[in-house]
Amino acid sequence: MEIPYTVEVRPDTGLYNAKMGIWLFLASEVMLFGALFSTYIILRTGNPDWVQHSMNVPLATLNTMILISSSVTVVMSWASLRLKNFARFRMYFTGTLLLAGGFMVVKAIEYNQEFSQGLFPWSDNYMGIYFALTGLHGLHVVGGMVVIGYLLGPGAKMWRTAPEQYVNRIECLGLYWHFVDLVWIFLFPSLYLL
Amino acid sequence: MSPIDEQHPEEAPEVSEEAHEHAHDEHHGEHEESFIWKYVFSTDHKMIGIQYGITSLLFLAFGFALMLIMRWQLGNPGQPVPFIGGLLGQANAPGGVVLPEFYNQLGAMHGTIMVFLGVVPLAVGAFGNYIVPLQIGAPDMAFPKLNMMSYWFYFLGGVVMLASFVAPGGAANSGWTSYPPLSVAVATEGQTYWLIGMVFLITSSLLGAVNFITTIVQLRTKGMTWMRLPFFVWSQLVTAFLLLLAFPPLEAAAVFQLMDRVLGTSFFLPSGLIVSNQILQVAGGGSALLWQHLFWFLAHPEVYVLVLPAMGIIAEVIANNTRKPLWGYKPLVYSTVFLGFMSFIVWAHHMFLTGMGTVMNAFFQTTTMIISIPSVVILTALLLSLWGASIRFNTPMLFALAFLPMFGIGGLTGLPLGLAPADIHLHDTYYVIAHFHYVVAPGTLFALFAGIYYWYPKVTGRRMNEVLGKIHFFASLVFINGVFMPMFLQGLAGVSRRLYDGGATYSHAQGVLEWNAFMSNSAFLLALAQLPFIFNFFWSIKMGKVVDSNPWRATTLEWVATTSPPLGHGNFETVPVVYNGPYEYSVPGRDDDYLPQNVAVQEG
Amino acid sequence: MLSLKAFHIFFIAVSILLGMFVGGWGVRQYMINGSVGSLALGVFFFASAFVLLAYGLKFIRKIEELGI
Repeated sequence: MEIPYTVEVRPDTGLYNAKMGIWLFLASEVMLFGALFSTYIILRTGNPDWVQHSMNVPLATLNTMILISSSVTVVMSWASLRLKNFARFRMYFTGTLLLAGGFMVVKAIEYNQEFSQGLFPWSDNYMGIYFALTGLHGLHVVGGMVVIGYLLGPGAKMWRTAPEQYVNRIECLGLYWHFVDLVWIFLFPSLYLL
Repeated sequence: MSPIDEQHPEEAPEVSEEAHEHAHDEHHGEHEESFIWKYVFSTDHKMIGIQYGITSLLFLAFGFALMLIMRWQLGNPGQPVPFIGGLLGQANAPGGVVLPEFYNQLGAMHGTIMVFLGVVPLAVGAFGNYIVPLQIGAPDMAFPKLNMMSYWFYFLGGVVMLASFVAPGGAANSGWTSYPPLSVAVATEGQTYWLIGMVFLITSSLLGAVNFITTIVQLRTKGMTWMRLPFFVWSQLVTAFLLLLAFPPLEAAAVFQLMDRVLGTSFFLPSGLIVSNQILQVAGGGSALLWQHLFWFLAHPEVYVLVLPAMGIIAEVIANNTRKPLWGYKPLVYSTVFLGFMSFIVWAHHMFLTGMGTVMNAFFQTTTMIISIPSVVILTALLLSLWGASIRFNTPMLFALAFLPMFGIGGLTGLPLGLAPADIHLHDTYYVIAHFHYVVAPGTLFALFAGIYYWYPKVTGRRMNEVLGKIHFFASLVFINGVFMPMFLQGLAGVSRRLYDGGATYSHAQGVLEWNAFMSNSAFLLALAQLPFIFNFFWSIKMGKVVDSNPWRATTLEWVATTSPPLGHGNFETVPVVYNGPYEYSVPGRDDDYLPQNVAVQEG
Repeated sequence: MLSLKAFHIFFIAVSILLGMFVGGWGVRQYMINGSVGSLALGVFFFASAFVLLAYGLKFIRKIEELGI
């Protein structure tokens, strides 16, 4: 007996297994980042001596635009694959990977600036929260990059052996990637502006 | 079972070529897997269930041994530990006499190991993995490789926890709750190990939870509607949701505490903290209370993670051995789901004494009182299921019957703790220890024993010895009460739960001090009472009575739709189709007193 | 429901809200302390909100046209 609904959709739930799995995973991620944000709020409101540093807003704006663009490219790559255009898919998907890499480079420049200003995680709780939140978010970006790299490289041969499942995988990656972008959409104003 | 035409499902692309091959070879039944892939890196849910089972039983034994050392110290303060005293190390127990620092390690690690490495992996990892796919008619878990990873993260977490005992300064010693500032500013290296170990264990639980929910939602076979699910599956589903949603905040908290310890941040350290007569050199401004909120946001649902699978097992065993449908299946299901929701908003009843304010106290008292309602509904339904039954008193049923009053004691003694005024007196006393051990030890652990005796024939094709089982049961029941009942008395007298000498230096403890030796001796006898079980467990693998595939005459799919032990990869010869509810026992007008879920009844 | 398409539309909607929010924030900062940088940021984000809105509408139309 084979495991059912690995590719096809189960009629009464409207989902294939992997999509169900990725949404559940994202639900747990919501709780993770929910706890991180709550910690930020509680520490900030509970501390009368809170210091809010002004961070590099232009670089963060650039990163915001990079991530929004990458969500567009990842959707385009999925849509291209649905239309069976593998070449276009690869172009957009590579674009997503490059944008993600760009995000990490900008992030590294930012971290370097902060270190050179003598700002470290232990400097105060704002910096601690800043590095914890952006660091964990960055780890999620890197994780996404690893998966994208795999799906572009060795994982791509599945397009020939099991095309439908390959499209599903791209969709699941896309869902994850959108979540990572969404986290940044909340991180940006709450860490840099407010 | 009536032969149904074998349906070959459309060739669906497999997750990997390897899994594909397995599925095929299984049809021919002559596949030779190498030892390492079959027993170590297996992706078969049954083998992973067994791996979880064996590992968690070993951890349970280890956690129990830690407790025995503590009990020795409490019953015989200052006496060298017999037999193993020399093995504890000069730094921990010079001359075999336990040092206070080592006692603290034992306490912290006993709690951690029992909860995170023992009971949960056994209840969810072992029973859930092995039984759930079989009960819903699925060939495996939805994500077999994730399942394997989940086990190995658990294993890694266990190794890190064990390794912490040889870390400089020994294992974590700030209690299983790891409250800062103690755990950050004072604790030794072992605490860092503890946090890293917890991150592994949390990851393992998350992978497992995703897998369980997907499996139960997606892989139910044809005809297995929600209201035909065995109650055990329902309990595992709600448990998986609790693990999925409650663990991430603890992961966040563990990361923060790790940063506090390793990077020198001060998320949990307030300004101007004085440790050993010196102001701590950190930025400060953090909140120690925040850790408690994040910790208990997990750890209260965790209580239900410990309890719900146990209730699921009990429901299966009771329905089977009363030969009647469960009394109130739907209320049971609704109560379980409601319990799951409520368990997310009761956490701060662990924190009445932190000074968080009367408004918070009032809110969490109210929710705590509300959550006791579904628990009582579940217990009452299980109790009423016994009414008018001709009960089969076999070993699993004995454990199940003992579960009801034992869990009842645990639950009812929790009510005073849920009310702030009573909690002011009882907080952090032995009363608390007695309360939650009644829930988890003669409660959940008895249910797990019932599950082991009940499903043992499923896994091995043989039954465990009944006489040894009954000796194990009665001895355990007597001695476990001998351990925990006097703790209520000590707690009501106000004896703190964390005292190395068991309260010898406190005048208010003098009246109840003599119970210490009694409890310790009960604990040692309880350890002896486990020997018949351990012997029985191994002896029956080869020497137990061979049974047919459905020795208990049960109705659920794991017994009626496949052999015992079940087929290799794939579980079922043909896809089972479900026509009936899970507990159709003693259906009027039938010759058998049980109606399997996969047998269609002709109307009229 | 729960498809990448739906999530993308939701994400773009949230991004538009972010653009409006940061836009308003920048203009308000400018009015409070006259910082031109904040004004520029605000204007930039207002503009990006409009671009995203146009993109989002086009995306919905196109994706329905292609039947994905």
